Amino acid sequence: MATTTTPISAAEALPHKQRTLRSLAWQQFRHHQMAMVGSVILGLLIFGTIFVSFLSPYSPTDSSLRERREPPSITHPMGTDTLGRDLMTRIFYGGRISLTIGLAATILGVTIGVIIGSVAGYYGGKTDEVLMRMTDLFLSLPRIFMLIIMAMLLREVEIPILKANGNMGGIILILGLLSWTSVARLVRGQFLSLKEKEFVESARTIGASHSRIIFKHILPNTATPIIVAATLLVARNIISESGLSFLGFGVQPPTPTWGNMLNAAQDEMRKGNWWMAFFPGLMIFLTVISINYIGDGLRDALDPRKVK
Amino acid sequence: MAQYILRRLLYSIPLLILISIIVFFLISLAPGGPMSAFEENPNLTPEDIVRLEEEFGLNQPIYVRYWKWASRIIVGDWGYSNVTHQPVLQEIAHRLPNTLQLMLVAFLITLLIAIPIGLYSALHQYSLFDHIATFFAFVGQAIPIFWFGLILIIIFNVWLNNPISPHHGFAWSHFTDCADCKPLLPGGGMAPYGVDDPTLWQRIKHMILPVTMLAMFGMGTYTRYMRGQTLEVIYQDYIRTARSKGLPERLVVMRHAFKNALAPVVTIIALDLPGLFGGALFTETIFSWPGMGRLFYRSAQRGDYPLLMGIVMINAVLIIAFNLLADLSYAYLDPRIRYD
Repeated sequence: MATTTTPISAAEALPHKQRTLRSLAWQQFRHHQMAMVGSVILGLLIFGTIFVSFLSPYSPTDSSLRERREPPSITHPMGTDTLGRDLMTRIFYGGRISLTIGLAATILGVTIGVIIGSVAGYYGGKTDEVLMRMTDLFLSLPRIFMLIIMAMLLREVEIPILKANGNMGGIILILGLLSWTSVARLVRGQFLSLKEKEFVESARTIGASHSRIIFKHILPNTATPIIVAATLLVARNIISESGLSFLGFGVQPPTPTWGNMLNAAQDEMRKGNWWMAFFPGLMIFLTVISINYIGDGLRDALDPRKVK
Repeated sequence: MAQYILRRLLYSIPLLILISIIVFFLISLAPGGPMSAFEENPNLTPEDIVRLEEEFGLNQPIYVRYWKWASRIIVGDWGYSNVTHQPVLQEIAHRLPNTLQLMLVAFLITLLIAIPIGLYSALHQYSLFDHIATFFAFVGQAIPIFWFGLILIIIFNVWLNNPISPHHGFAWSHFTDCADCKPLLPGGGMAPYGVDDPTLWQRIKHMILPVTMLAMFGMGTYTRYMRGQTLEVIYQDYIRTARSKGLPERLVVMRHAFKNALAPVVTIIALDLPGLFGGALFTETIFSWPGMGRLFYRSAQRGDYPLLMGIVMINAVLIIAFNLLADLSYAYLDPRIRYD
């Protein structure tokens, strides 16, 4: 400790293992069993979606009329769909789209949320009032109804980057535009308390600009809750995307996503072909529960009060 | 109190106006929009279309159109559906009770399960029950409810039959394989097909699956939240005081802990309401439940803009009304809060 007067040897000053904050957090995270299980499951899923073209002998789009509607078997572990396509292969290709949308929409939402929240919290007064009323407004909009209306408009728009991959870009845009509110509130709260702290005061005294104080001094201190909120937001956006695609307003076939695979399975399932609905939904469930547990683990690990 | 309610109602007016502006502008961005139905009609010449556009006032700037639309809304003229040509308000009024019925029953069931479990979990923290309940709360939070609905149909409508026979009780094939077998529970609608005046039992049977599906929404969240809030409360000084003065544990929990833990939960539930309407949309779509959510879904498919606008507005009004209700019950539960 800095207050001790006895000189310490070099060996004592540098322990075997540097106990940085990050390594402490990692230790904490490792003790959260479910978070570790979640990380492994999510890791395997991501691995599968990246390398599916090497791992699977089947194509996600070529139909095989002789193998239509086959229940799960050794050759097709999750069965086949109405066109005889291997469901497991399609699920991993679909995972690519679903996970990418979840992640990209979250990055967009968090960016908007951080900007609005930090401006509102830092400047306060009228700016804060206006921005927070806007946030309230977005929170009282019925979310899925707005998503559907925006998705309807999207279908008519002719912008290539939004249209690619069955409207993937557009879905990212609308999910991002509707998912910044919670982050904005969180960041604003953090800014309100942090901006009164001495380190901000001292930065201001030495003449730092507003943007420097916001981005270099305050924002890094809000990283922890933002990381946790963003993790949980990824899960939420994955559910929103699959819900929208399930209703037929999301990503359009033939681009597979877990949501539009469920949509296609609706009629089949009433005929008893359960696997077409079961496995895509199971994937959404596994992904979301893994991410939620990881978020829970991160919250514990990054909470400085909890470090033993 | 009356003054507070009045103030809140006044505050909600600008909110509703803003919502209506946003939705109106979004919908008028839609290409074709209200004229698309006429453009597809081969009997109309382009000149007719222009004439109709003038007649409907569609060639006017958007703020003029918004103003006209808004002033008609206020006097109760919500326009006509593009598809059925029925008044929008009438179409909504037919379905709103069905939606509210579904939501109310599901919501009560959610609370009746989630709140006791959350409370019990917290009072027996780290017990086996607590671990299991917390795990299931995580599961409940992660289950996409539309998938849950499909699973319910597979199990209770496709697989399980009535009467349950040894050969067909749990068959991997469709129930029609068995001549005298009927699905255990109906998988759609509010009454058997073609029955206009269903019995109470028929109604209940048709409600079981959709209500179960919708009750799943919020189950996990509320359980975890109730548990968390109870844990916050039970280490407070006033609980220790209550115990030390010899109050029976049951009264300590019910009178002191429960009520104080419940107040913040009410807020979370109110904030979740827009989500519950969304859940109802999925439930009604999957189970062909003739409610507002399904009407919205069908209108979106058909591009029926007047109906879409109407439903969003009704929804916004309901959400604001329920939020007010939640605030009032908060004041009832937490005596420190007085609205005057």
